[in-house]
Amino acid sequence: MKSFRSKSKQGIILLMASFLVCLLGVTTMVHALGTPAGTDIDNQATVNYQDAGLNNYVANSNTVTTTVNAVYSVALDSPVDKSWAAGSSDYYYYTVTNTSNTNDTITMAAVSEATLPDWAVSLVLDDGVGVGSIAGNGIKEPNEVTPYPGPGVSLGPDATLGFFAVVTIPGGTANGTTDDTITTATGTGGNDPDTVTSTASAPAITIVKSVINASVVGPAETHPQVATNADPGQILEYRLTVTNAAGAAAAVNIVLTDNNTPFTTYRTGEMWIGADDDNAPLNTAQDDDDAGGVACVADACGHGSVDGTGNVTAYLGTGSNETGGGGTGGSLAPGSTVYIFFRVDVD
Amino acid sequence: MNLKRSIAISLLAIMVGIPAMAYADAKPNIVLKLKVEKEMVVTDEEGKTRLEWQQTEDTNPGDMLKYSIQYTNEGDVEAKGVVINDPIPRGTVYVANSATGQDADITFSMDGKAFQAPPMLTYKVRNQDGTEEEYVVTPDMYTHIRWILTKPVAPGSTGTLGFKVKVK
Repeated sequence: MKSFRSKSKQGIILLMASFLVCLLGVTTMVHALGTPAGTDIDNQATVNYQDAGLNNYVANSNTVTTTVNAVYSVALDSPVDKSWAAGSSDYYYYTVTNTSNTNDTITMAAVSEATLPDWAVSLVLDDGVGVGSIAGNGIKEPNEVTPYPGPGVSLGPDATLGFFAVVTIPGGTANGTTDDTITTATGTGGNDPDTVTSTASAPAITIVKSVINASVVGPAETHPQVATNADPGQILEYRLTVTNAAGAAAAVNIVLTDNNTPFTTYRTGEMWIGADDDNAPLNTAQDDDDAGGVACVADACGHGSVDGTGNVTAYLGTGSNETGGGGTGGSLAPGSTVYIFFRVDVD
Repeated sequence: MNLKRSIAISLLAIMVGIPAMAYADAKPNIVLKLKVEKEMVVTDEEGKTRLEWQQTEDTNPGDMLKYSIQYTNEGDVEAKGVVINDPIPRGTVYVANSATGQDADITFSMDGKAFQAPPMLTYKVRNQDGTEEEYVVTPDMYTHIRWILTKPVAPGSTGTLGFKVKVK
């Protein structure tokens, strides 16, 4: 800590030692553990004195020497936790620093805490080796694949090395599943572990089916979305609510099927798919033509049809489309919902 | 008779001259003995630990070292104007308020040339716009310590000075 003296006091302060220090270009050398090992710290005092005749004398003391020992330590930084799609890999960028006051060989190990299926982890140097790669930029380029050497890497005092811990989340891992990866740097003086938590991001589709008796309830806006009784010949309206949970990964190739409901007969042309959860005819687009059309450009969209035995098939989400006898499922972003309504007569 | 007188005069001259010659050769002789100790943790027989200064030849970064300078006048006459200088060893930093010494004015320097007692030791920083700001030199910036003894050191007298540093 430095203390500042105001210029107003300068006049009364005796300035016996004034030095001009140029701040520009000054760099601070940070030594993690300071003085290098093997350094001799020498000291010798000197005395000046006089006799009665004012003759001058000078004498030196003995010299004492203290040698600095090697002190070893290693430091590993701690990247932030991550979440990414199941069935793919991502990486954590680490830097390891030899905080010793001498050279040391640093080895590295990483393990997944997950039981089967194992979340594979590998350590790769940020060495810039490989076409299009840049050393030490903290970004794992595709061709940067040199494994962290098993015998370790020799680092000088305060030297730092960057590397990646590449973690693969097994395909099929449920959304929200986590795993801890423990990466440990080890040197002569001990080790420094770090734990990162990876979270699987996967689609989390839910389907809720409800029904109303469309023959007896009142105006569309007041339809209760609950099950009800029905007499033969009356109309039932089914609603399927398809949602991909917020925070999940995008769901792709979404195809919904709903088998024929016994004792009912599908009402031709009475199928709607859209964004509104209210009454179908008012708020959703009719679609049961089992024919090609314009691919959906929104999540709350789809193309569907019902076959001759009453089985419902719907291709849902952005990019979905339908052709005669088939179709292509679209995608639902996290938090998106699409509704499918269809009506049947009670036999 | 003349021979006896001559012998007597010669003996007298020798008796008077020898002490005079001896006094003419009398000098102060300040001898410095320097030692360094490290603060060590010592465990006694009961398992209790305490800190103890022990002479050492090696050290670790972060250790505290104590330097002691013993001065002794091994001469025949007193020494006046005794000034003892000691640089802060490279690889160490002075520990604030650790310099000791009886009957001594203690001053510090950050270049080994200009010495002052804290907080009179200052330095200036020139800003990019040409203005200067003045700062007090902090203990970690000291490079030398000076003890100016306020009393002559009589023959046979001794004293001890000291200071502590921390190994970087």
